Amino acid sequence: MMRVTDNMLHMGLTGNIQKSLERLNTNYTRLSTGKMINRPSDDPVGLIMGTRLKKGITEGKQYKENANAALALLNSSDYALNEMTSVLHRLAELAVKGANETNDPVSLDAIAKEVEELRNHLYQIANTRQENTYIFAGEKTNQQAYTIDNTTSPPTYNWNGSENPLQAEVGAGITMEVTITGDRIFGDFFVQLSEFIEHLRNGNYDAISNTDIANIQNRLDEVLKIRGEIGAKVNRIEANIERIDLMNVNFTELLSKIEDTDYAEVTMNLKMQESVYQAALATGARIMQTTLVNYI
Amino acid sequence: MRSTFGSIETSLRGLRAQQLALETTGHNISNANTPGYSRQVVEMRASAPYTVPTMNRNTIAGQIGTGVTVTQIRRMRDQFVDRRTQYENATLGYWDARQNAFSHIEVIMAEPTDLEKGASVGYYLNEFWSALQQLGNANRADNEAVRSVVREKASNLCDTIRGTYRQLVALREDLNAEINVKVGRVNALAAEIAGLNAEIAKVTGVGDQPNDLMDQREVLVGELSNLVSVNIQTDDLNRYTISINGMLLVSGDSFYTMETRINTDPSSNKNGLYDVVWSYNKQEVQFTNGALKGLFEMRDEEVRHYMDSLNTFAQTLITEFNNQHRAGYGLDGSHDISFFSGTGAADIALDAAILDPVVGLKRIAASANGEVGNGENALRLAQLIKEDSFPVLGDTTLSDYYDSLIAKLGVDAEKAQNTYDNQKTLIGHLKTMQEAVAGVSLDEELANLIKFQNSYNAAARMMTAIDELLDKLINGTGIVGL
Repeated sequence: MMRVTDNMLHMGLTGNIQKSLERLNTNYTRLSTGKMINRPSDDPVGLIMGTRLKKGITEGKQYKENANAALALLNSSDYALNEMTSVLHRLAELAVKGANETNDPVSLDAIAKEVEELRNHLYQIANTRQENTYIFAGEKTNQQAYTIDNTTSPPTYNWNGSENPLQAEVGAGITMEVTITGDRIFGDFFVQLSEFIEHLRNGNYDAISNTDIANIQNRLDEVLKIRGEIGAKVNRIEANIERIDLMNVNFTELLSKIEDTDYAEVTMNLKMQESVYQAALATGARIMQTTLVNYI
Repeated sequence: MRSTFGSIETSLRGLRAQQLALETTGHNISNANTPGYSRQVVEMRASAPYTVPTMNRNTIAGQIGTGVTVTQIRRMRDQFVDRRTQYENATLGYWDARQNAFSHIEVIMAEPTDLEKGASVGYYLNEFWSALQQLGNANRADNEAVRSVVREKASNLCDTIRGTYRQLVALREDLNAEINVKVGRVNALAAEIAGLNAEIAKVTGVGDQPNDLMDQREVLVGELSNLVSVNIQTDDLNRYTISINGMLLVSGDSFYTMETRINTDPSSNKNGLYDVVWSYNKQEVQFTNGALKGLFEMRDEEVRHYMDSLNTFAQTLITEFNNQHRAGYGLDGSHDISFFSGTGAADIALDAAILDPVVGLKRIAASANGEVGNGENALRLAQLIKEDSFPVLGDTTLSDYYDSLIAKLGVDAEKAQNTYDNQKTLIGHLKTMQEAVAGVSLDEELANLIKFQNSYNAAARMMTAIDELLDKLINGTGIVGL
């Protein structure tokens, strides 16, 4: 049988109270910070998993932001091209009207004036801006896509942008072009329009019906094709955003499972530890005061 | 013939022995809470009997008892447990130093960082990456607000790297100072133990038991064994000969000191820090265990490892980032401009060209071809952080390199903490084992008190009885008719 001394009881008791307090402290920290991992040594494996998940979340957030910026650019482009489509439709109508040989010079001149106005409108569309960006100027974002030289007659429209469109990384490794450069949209349409006006002024019905109507139709086809491309890109990006959102929800949930305090469990543990602590204190109060002295 | 007054003598012996036992009980009770005290027990033996020759039994004499004699006051102590405790104490000291320093490193590295608040290198590395991505994508390459975020996050990253590194350097200096203090303590303990050795030898020499002096010495040896791993031998005068890795620290009443000396070898990783040498031959002291070994390891290996790793991290960031940055173009057409300045974790900062309040932001080289809307170079810079592996980082990315550093920290710190806890439990068991032998039990002492008190009383009563007998003999006999 082991000899038990007063100090032994005391040592055991204080040791156990200390351990009990330590466990209480751990649980208090977990409850008050809301985190299970408060320093790397709390759970090295969980920490690594948590760091990876956090990185995934930050990356997802960033790609989503990139995707949203891309969407803004694509939507502005589509809006501008939608307007351009209306202009082209009107131009087609006017071309058909102008090709009719019954027109007198006055009405032909009126048509030419309207075409001039529409040309100005197209020039404005070509220089559409979003925030401070000329969206059709490629990488020369701070410069007009087209400049106008009014010293010539007819005025000359010069392509001023860069042929490299802007890019965006909308997901890990998914980089796409998010603007359309003006030269692809307009080609030599401004020159063609000037010729069209010339033909109207000269009453050159042949050229109008043979060349100009075809030119406008071709441009319309090209713009619709580009709009189709934009639509496809928007769909792809939106799907990607949805995927990122879903992934982030999953990541956040996993991260929470690893890192966040399970309040129910920790509170229960805390209660249990508190009872143990109380019991230890009560025991201490009893054994500390009793010795043989009390009885002799 | 029996002696007339022999019985008085027997009773007196009893009184004396019980009194000594009572005194020892009092000594035990008084020292019930003295650290390191071992309870003492009075060992009694029946004193030598003598033979009464009689006429009837002349060959085999009957022996008459003469009472009690005290042979020694024994110190109850398990020497074996002491040695084991001292041995395990060194391991406890070693892991205590390690877990302590590791928990400091954990605080310094500030991981895991809360996504929302943030203070660690890892957090700002992520933020910097996000800012570069922001700059490189869609139409934001020429956006001044985005550029200023890039500069601010980079500046935060530099500040955090420098701050973390500075704190690690400070921790190393603290450990260095602690080594100095602990070496001083070893010297003081050696001197005290040598002094006690001398006294113990004197007492032992005249045949007495230096119980309390030995207890005192055991306490000192306990503290010493926590600091260094010691080998202890006892000589025939109860003196301890203590050696550290084969070198004498205490031998009888003489002791050998060690001293700290600043390392001046610029190629050493301890340059500017303390070496510990023996005072008498200036040979370096080899610590094999104990708090001092732990402190040395933390100072020269572990903390050093985190400093070096952070430095490699910063160097790679500066070199690679600057190379890529120089290849790009700023908004103002600037080219071949460095982004970071400095040579490592101690002095990493933003280059003056980037910090310029007027054109600094324009000089951030987001563009790969000079066009203002081009963000390819910014994306390349972002890739440097998370996608490009470098041989100098063990073929990992900057981001992964940092993460694995934190992972190692977690594993190391957890191991130090667990081992320390286990070792503490072990020491606790050993202490309990020693307490079972050496500890004072008040109940036991009180029971002894009653026992010895009653024996004392009984011996005194015995003397009274003999007194009455003698009274009868002297005053009541041979007086018939008087």
